[in-house]
Amino acid sequence: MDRRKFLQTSAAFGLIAMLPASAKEGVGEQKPTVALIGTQFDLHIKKTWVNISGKPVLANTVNDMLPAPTLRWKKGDVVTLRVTNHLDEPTSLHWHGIILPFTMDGVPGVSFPGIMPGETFVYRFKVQQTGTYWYHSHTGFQEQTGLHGAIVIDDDIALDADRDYVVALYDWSDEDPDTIYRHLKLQSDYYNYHKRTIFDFTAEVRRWGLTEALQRRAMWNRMRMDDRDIADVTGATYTYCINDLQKHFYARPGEKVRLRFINQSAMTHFDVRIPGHKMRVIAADGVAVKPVEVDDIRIAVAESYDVIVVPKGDTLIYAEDMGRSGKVYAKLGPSVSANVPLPEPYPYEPLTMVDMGMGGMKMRGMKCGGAMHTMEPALPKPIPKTALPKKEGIAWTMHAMNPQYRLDDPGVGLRSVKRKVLTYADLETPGLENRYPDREIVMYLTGNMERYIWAINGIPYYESEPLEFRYGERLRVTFINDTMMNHPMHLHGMWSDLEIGDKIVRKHTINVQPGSKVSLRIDVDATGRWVYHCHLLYHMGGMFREVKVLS
Amino acid sequence: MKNLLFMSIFAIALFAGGGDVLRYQVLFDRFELQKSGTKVWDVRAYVGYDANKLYIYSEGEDSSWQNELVLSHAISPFWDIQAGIEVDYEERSKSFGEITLSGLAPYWIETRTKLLFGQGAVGVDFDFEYDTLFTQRLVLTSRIESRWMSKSIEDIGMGGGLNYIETGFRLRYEIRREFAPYIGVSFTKNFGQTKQLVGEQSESSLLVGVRFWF
Repeated sequence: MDRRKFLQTSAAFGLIAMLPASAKEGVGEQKPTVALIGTQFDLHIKKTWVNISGKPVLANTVNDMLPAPTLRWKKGDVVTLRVTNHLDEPTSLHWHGIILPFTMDGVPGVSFPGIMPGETFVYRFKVQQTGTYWYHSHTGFQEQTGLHGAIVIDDDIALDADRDYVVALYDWSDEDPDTIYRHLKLQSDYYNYHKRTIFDFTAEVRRWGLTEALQRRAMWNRMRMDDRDIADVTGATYTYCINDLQKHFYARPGEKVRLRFINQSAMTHFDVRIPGHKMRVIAADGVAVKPVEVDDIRIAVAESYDVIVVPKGDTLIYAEDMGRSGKVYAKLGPSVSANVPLPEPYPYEPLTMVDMGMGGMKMRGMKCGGAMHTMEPALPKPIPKTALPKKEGIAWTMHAMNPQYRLDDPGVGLRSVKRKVLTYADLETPGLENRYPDREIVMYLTGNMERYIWAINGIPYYESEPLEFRYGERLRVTFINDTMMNHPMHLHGMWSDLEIGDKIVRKHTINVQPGSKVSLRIDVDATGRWVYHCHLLYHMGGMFREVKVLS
Repeated sequence: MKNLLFMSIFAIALFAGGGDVLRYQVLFDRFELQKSGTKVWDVRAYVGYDANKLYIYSEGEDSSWQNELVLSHAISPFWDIQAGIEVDYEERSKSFGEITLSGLAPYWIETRTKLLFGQGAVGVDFDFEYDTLFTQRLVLTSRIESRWMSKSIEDIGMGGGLNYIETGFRLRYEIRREFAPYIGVSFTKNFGQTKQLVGEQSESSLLVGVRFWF
């Protein structure tokens, strides 16, 4: 019996008083998440009772809050964050998307040794940016156990907004994350209850006839790829959450409401909408973008989007996971007791040949589906490439035959939605200088779903050498996704300017769709040691690299 | 001592968790009672990492069984090569060396193909399984297993040539992934010298069992 289960069971039988003092000391009850404002912050990482699924369990929290307190900073201030570890294991906090010296970045083993039990670590750095960000533990699977919260740095966009709310979306499980990971390792479809059945096949036979139905299946079956494998971890274990289970966001009709959506999930891409309303996207990953009006937004893990919505009355903030295994919603409007009907969930969509990297190709005379996407940037002169080590092996199952820039692809699950879905192609950061790249590296996102191994270039993190960036260079990074999963790639310490044709959008986390490629440009303007990784928590063990900036 | 403990936790907790962690699984793939009264088991257990694992396989009924101890090494995304020993028992026990190709074949067929050598004989043994989903929890496993030996090993009832073909269909309901009761039917047919040695002609049996793992 592990400690968490023991405490859980003990509590149920009223035995907590019999535990040694050290075990119950500092175990708090959950408090509502509040904003902490200023330059001095005392953050206590500790055990806290929470009740999310209907039964009390222990979470790891900051100051007994889940999500952790919202930190409000001002650009130009020097902030001091004293983080004390009351757990009996090491911990850390990483400020996601924040530009700072690498020793303040909070990655154990790279930026600093981590925060040992009983210790206090003092983070101090100057705030150089504005917008919506977040922070989370970077130790083990702690992020999944409750250590994540919002950062809001005052900016000068949407100053006329009447209301301003953080909307943190996340996935909670009562299961220990080590157990979730073990389940995935032993049976990677453990949480997938959307698998193909014999009746899916008979329906296809009725639709296309036996020969074509068999032909369509052949590629998948030969490659042992599953078109129903949208997400590794699903509503089968997750409860999807908004803030501290907040049920109502107050706003009067006609008011301009700024919603700061942050996907603080471990594993869940959310599709968000406000039924009957347009959302005006004003910032992505904290950075102002040319405003764009949309109906739906897919928020990849670790991304943030700021939107303006003007409620006409009582409505909902409605989010469902990409694999359609669950949903979460909260009321938005004047009345807490309004009876707002739930929208129809979007239909489940399986993956297509496009997600296998065969977009625009023809197989045996059959079109694989999907138009050719033309998002190639103009590259008037060749960019020197630095080859990286690669290893064909058990961590590299699939090779995308024709990976494309699918920046205008809403992605699996939203392709049949006949509304305006935000895609990367809609985004542009105005006023940025887009220097021509000095150098390029290509990274293949690879994996093995059967064995549940994730890697870059076929080499998992624990067998890899650090990537080398050169201080002062403009580096072009191209990712080719040789897997059937989405991978939100996050670089610490430096911005990523995503190429969208010849325009760019500045982000800290870039989702790479299955079988697709993306290119981005990085101003290597930070020294020290950083990391670059997929932000899906259970992919991070392998799809992860240390980055060394050479001066 | 305390520091050592912290350091070891620390080493594991670096960056994010996950990666290639040591793990184990014990799977009772078949654990059943056949209508004839025969009790059947088919268990596999491993401990290890992504690339290298130690496996124990045990398959048998009442008074005859095959146990294997093998080292398993991943050679490609879907395939493992395994090497070790198999001990067969039927009134007496005999040992064989084995080299096995285990993995997921195209079209999602779980396979184990085994080359046996020992007792002055060589043998080939294969075991294929295929799952058909009726619903997300109702799964039909079709299975075929067979063995061929180059010569008779009469002590343990193995004839030269084709020994037997065993097929089975088991319909399980996954109450949890880890626990699935099933009903099914199995057919066994002995051939050639084995038929003479063991005496059975062919046999079919209804069965009830439970598939579980931990």
